[in-house]
Amino acid sequence: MDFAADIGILVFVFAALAVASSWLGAYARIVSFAPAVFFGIGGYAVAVSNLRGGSPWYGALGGGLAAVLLAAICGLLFLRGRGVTFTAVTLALGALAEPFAAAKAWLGPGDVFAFPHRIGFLNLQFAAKWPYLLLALCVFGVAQALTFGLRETRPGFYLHALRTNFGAAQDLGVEALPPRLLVLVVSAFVTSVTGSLFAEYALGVSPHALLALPLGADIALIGLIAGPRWPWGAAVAGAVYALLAHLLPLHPDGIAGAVVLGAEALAIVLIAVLRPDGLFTALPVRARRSPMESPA
Amino acid sequence: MIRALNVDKLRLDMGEYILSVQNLRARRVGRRLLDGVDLDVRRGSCTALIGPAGAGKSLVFACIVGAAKSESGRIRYFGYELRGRAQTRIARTGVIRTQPAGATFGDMTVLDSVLVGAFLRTSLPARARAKAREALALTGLSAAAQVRADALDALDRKRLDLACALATQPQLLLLDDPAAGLSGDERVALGGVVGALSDRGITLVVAARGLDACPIRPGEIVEIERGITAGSPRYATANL
Repeated sequence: MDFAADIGILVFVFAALAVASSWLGAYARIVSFAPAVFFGIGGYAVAVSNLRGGSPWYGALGGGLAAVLLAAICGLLFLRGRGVTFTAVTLALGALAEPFAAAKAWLGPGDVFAFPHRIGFLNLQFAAKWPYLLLALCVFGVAQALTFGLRETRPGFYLHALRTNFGAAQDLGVEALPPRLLVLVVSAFVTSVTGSLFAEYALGVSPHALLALPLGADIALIGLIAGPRWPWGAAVAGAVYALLAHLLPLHPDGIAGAVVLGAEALAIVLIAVLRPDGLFTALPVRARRSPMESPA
Repeated sequence: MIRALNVDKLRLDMGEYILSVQNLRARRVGRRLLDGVDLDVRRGSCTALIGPAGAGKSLVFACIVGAAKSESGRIRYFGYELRGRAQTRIARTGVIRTQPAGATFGDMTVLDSVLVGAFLRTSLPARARAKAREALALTGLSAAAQVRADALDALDRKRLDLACALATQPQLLLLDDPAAGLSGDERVALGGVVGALSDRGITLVVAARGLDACPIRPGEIVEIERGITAGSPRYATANL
């Protein structure tokens, strides 16, 4: 039973991460290697709360706001134009986050920081697995609802227009930065909250588990693979990834790990350049019918 | 935060003119393609900008809407200087351009494409939907609302371009070679739609290679040759 709950939690956590990543990669055509940074910010925010005896709920909220702040700064400074600079900056952030967290004593012990056991709802710790499963389902549900919301509101229409015909969209007064910035900060918040939940479920954090660059590359790749056409695509891709990651050593140590990471980076570049609509485009999906249009 | 320009609050110091382009100069890849273009457009009128291919008509439009930079000159819209403004900000003032290649968003439905334009004035989906439906009705595309834009024929794509532009509630519409690629009958049909826009009080400037390529009879004609406005504007007469 616990094994099934563990699998379910991982599936919903990575489905939520994949959905948040797809807003960037699939909808806004932003390649970001920073999802693990936002994931780690959420994890370390609840770690600091545990270290100081505070409630992890406040830690999760604070981590989310810190992620939003970081995303907004990066977006405002580097998200103009085609976003190549932004991608490079997120790559640097992703590479620096793990050694940074390992070196800073105020973030807890450098290797693994196991949280003190304080069972209780206010401490976001439960004796059973099912409350974590329920919370992971809630986070995923909110992320998926935001996907549907994004597709039916102005930012979603603008992002669709920009990726289909950039020049024509600008002729109609569509600005590129505001909708891209919006999805970036919302994605950062959801990713950070997911990181907080994951850290509490694991009852600890470590720089390698939460902030490693390969994790960021994994999440970015899942978001790109799904594409924007099928609204459930990212969730399915995230769930499949969670199962694979649980069963197989996707990122082995040493040379093999470096080869895997290199191949992954190559896949991200190839999909972003050659198949920006993702790999699910062969699926027989109907042209989207606007729910705002009532039948004649 | 970019605010929309409220043209009603602007001081109308240009008399009856909504747009005044003076001595516009612009370069592209090192070559001066515009070398003194003057263009005055009366409010509510339809002006034809006539010239051969390469004369600089599209570049004039691109400079007006902020899609291309100009070297010098003035572009005043309701007395408000447009030169140096961002393209999206200019669009919010009510100056909208359509391009010969079309503004269709291939994998969107017709309704969704028009909603992109309608969202310029409101973030509320219900209001945007109402404006989009209105634009579709005026351009004769209501029946094709759920058709994919890339499945439309040439005439309906032109109609869709006009519907997208109309949904932004423009004051000044710059139509760049709107009849390109259309047959004679299709040009007549498009002329009916363009005429309906003019009847709604939208000021039109139509760029075309000749008057026969202009889908609507203009009230005023400005000729452009090799980036220079040729002579004084002419007024259309009955035998045009």
